[in-house]
Amino acid sequence: MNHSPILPIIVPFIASIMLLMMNATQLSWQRGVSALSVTLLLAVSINLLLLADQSAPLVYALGEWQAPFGIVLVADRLAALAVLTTAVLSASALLYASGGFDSKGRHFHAVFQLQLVGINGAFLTGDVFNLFVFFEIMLLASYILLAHGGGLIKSRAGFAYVILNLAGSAVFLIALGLIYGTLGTLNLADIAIQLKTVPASEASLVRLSGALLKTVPASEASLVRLSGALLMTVFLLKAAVLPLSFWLPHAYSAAGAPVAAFFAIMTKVGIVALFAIMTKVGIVAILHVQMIAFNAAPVMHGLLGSWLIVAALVTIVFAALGILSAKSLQSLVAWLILGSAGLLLIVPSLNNVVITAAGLYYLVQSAIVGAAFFMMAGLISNARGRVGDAFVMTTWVSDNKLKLGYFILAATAAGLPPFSGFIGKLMLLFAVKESVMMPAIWAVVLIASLVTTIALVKAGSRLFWEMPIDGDPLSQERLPPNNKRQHFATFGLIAISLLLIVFAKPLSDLTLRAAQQLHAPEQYIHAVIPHHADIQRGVRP
Amino acid sequence: MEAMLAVAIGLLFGCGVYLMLRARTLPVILGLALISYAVNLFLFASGRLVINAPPIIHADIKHYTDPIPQALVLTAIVIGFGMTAYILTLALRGLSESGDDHIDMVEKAESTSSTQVKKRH
Repeated sequence: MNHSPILPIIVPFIASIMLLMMNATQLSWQRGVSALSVTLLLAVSINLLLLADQSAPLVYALGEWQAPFGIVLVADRLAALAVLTTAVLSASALLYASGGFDSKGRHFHAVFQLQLVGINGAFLTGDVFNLFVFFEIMLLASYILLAHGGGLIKSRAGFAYVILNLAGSAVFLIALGLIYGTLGTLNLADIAIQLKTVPASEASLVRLSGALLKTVPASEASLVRLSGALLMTVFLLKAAVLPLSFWLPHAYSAAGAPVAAFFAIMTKVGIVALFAIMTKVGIVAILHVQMIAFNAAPVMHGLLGSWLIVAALVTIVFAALGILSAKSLQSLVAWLILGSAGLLLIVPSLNNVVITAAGLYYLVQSAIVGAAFFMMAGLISNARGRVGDAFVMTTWVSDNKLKLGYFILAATAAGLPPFSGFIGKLMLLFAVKESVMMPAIWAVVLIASLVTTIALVKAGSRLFWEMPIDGDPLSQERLPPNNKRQHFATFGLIAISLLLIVFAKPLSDLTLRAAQQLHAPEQYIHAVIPHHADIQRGVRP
Repeated sequence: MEAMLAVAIGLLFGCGVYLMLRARTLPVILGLALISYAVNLFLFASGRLVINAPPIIHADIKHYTDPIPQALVLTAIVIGFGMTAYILTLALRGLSESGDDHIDMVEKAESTSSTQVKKRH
C-alpha cells in the first residue's frame, strides 16, 4: 500500500508532539523543527499531487481495515491540490510568524502544526466522523492561534468565534447521528451507495448490481434528508455564507497577521468539504442522475439547488458593502475573504464540470492572494507605527516595495487584468455563461468587483498618499526596523500569485481534471469500495 | 424507554439553548455543556436502544448492541471536554482583562467613561 496519503497528516503531527515536549523558551529550536516539518510537508504534498493526478483516487486504509468497516483516507485530485495550497500558505505564514510574532506567547509552533494536521486531515479523510474529528482539531488549534498575542480584542473575538463553532459542532454531531442511525454507515463512499437505496416512497424497490438493496425504510427518508440539510448548514457556517457569516470579519480582523493569513485557507476547508460531500454523496443533481438510472427516487433532490445561488450572491453583495465600510486594512481583507467565499459558492450551486474547474482555480488563487494581503496589512501596520493599518491620515510610508506589493495585491483581489484574480473571475464568469442565472451572477460579480476596486483605491490613497496638512506628531515616532523574514514571506507569496498567471494553463488543466474526477463519483466509490455488492451487512437491531 | 430518552434530550437541548442566549459568559458555557450532553445522548441513541446485549457479533449471540455509537460518543465527550476547558479559560481571561463577565467583554474603564460622556450631553 502506498503510504503517501497519510504523510501530510503524520508529518505535522509528529512535529507538533516534538514541539510540545521541547522547552518552550528555546524559540530558535522550535522554529527549526517547525520549518523542517513544513518543508517536508511541501515535499510530500507535491508528491501526493503528482501521484493523485496520475490515476484514480488513492485510498489508504488505516491498519489495513477495508472500507466501509475501517477508516480510510482518500487522496483525489481536489484533496491533493488543497493540501498543496495549504502547505504553500503555511510555509509563508510560518516564515512571517518567525519574524517575531511567535515570541508573543508560548507554544505557537506546536499549535500551528496541529492546525495543519486538522486542515490536511479534513481534506483527505474519506469518512464523515473523521471529518468531524479533524474539523475539531483544526478549530481548537485556530481558537488558540486566534488568541495568540493576547489582548481584549482577541479575547472578545475569540469567545464569540469559539461559541459559534461549538454550536456548529453540536449540529454536525446531530447530523452524524442521523446519518448513522438511518444509513448505518459513516464512510463517504458507502453513504453514497446507501443513499441510492433510500426510497422517496414505499413503492420503489431498488436493484443495484443484481442484489436487492433496501436497507432504509421509506419512513426514514425524511430523516436522511434532514441529516443532509444539517450537514450542509455546518459546511455553510464554516464557509461563512450570508446568514452564517457574521463571525468571519470579527475573527479574521482580530487575529495576528500571520494567523489571519493562515486562516485564509480555513473558509476554503468548508467549501472543499461542501464540494466533496455534494459531488460524492450527491446532495444535488449529480447522483440524482444515477438515482434515476437505478430507478430510485432522489431523496436529496432540491435540497440546496435553488437557494444556494441566492445565498452566494447575497454574500457577495454583503461582503462588498463590508469592504466599503472597513476601518482598517486587515478588516478590509477579512471582508475580501468573505467575498471570495461567496463567489466560490456559486460553484456547487450550479454543479457543472467547467464551472467547478474554474471555481477550483479561483479557490487556490483567492486563498494565496488573501493570505498575502493579510501579511501585507501586517507589514503596512508595522511601517505606520502606532496607528497601525487603520485608515487614518498619518505620516508617509516611505517604503516603495510596500506600495508596489499593495498595488499588485489590490489589483489581483479586485480582479483587474493581467493579474491572477482577473483570470479566476473571467474563467468563472465564462463558465456560468450557459446558466439561467447568468445575468444575475454577472451583474452581482461585476458590480461587486467595481465596488471592491473603488474601496481598495480609496484605502491605498489613504494609506500611502494622504497626509495631514499641519505637521503630524506621529511622524517623530521611532519605527521598528524592517523585518527581513516578514518581507520575504509576503513578497514570496505575491510572487507565487504572479506565477499563477504564468502557469494559468497547466493549473487550470489540473483543476479541470480534478473537476472531472469530482463529477464522476462512481470512480471514487469504486476506488474506496470495489465490491460493494459482496459486503455482508447485518440486520440492524 | 425511547420516550423517556427523547424527553431528556429535548429538555437538555431546551435548557441549553436558553442558557446560551444569556448575556454572561458562564451561563453561555453551561448552556453549551448541556447541549453537548444532549448531542451525546442523541448520538448514543442512533445505534438503537438495546438492553442486556453484548456489543460483539458472535455465532451464539443473536441479540447484540451496536458498538460504533458508543465509540463515537466517547470521542465526542473527549472533544467536548477539551473545548469546555478551553472556553472557560478564555472566559476567565476576558473577565480579568475587562473586569466584567459580559459576553461583549467591553472594557470597564471605557464603558464607564462612555456613560459619563452620555450623562454630560
